[in-house]
Amino acid sequence: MDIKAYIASGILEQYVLGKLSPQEEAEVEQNAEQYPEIRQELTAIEVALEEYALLHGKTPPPGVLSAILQRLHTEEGAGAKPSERRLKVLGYAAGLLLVAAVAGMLALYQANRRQHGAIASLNQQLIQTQQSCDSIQNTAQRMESLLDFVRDPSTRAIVMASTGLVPDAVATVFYNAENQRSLIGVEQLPTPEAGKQYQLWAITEGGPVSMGVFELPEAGRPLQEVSFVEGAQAFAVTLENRGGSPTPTLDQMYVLGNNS
Amino acid sequence: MTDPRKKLPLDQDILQLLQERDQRAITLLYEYYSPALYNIILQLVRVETVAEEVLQDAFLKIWEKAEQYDPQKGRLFTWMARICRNLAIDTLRSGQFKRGNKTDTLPDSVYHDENLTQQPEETDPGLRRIVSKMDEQSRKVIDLLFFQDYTQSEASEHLGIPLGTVKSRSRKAIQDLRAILKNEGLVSFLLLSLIETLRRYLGY
Repeated sequence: MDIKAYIASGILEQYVLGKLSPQEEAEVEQNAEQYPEIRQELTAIEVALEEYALLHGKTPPPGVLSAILQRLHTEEGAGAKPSERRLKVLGYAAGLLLVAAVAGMLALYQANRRQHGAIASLNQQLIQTQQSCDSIQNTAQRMESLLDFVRDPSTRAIVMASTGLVPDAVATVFYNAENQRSLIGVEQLPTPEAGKQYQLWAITEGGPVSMGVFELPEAGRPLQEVSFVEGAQAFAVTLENRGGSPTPTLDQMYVLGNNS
Repeated sequence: MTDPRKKLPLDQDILQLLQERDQRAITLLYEYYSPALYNIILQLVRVETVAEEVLQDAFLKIWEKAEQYDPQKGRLFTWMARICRNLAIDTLRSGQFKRGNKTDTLPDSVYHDENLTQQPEETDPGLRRIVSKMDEQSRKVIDLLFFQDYTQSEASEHLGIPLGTVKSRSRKAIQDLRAILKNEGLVSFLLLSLIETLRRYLGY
């Protein structure tokens, strides 16, 4: 585009004077945006006409400005505008604060709920821990009393060795004649088949006397209390029907030991 | 080449006040531009009481439409002048006031009110000097197109010159005006008074 010719055509003057069709105006505006020279020329024309108009100025009658301000005041409440705006700003600020406060409360509520949940679960854990603590303490006390019993100088430990039925079968009787108390500890016995149970016998002068049936030891229960029988010379374990038998089944004797 | 006023913050300051809905913007605009705008309206509606009304309406409209003004598209004054012109023409078209000066049926003497265009020349020595330096043709074409709001074809008809010549003549007229204004140093004079007004008003 020949900018000089475009400028010289006088179209810019017509633009500033407002004599162009909307379409032509848009064209000029587009060109002005594209070419700084055109924008500059437009401004120069505007300035010239502006100065010319200012020179031709004719002071309006007095009172027009106050009438305008009066109308601004009444029509738009212009006087109240700044404070209105301030109010608006305050309103926005209050709204924001409210939103923030609600969000904060929600967050606190959530946190509170989470903490409550945590506290409840901690409580639960505490109870469980206490329970397990109690049970461990019980076990410990039991162990301690067992240990005390085993270590008691008047307690004898009678190891019953395999009779050959099962080669490595071993069990021990702890026998205290003073306290009239006896325990059995099983080191090695085969798991009995269903419906069967081991029975401990004291061999006395009058023959075998049952000291009761017992289970194989489980965790935390290495020794089991059995009935005390006075004057035991030897001890033996047989496998009997569940519930025990009045007399020992001799071919089912697993271990045997002398109370020497 | 460069226009010193373009770089001035004045219009921007007023614009900012306008956009902040600060009423002082209207007072400032009025103080500085109302004579020029009033004259533009008066040249069209011819009756002072009517011009006064239109001027009021125009300032209210400037206040209302301030957000629509785009500094990229033109100067503030051009925009305001257009609002004034449009309102004046609307008033004329409303039927209450007949715009006799543009109808061909009326003789020249009716529409060309010498009093209105010549009165300022007598009172303002600066203007008299400027106008005296312009040739009659240039002055006339500017008056018709700028103050009387003639269309190009109306001006061509009135001046008895081809349509295309209106364009070139108005360009020449404005070129002349630019040259004269530049030599007169009026730009800087007006500029200083403008800054003074602003300073006084805003208390810079």
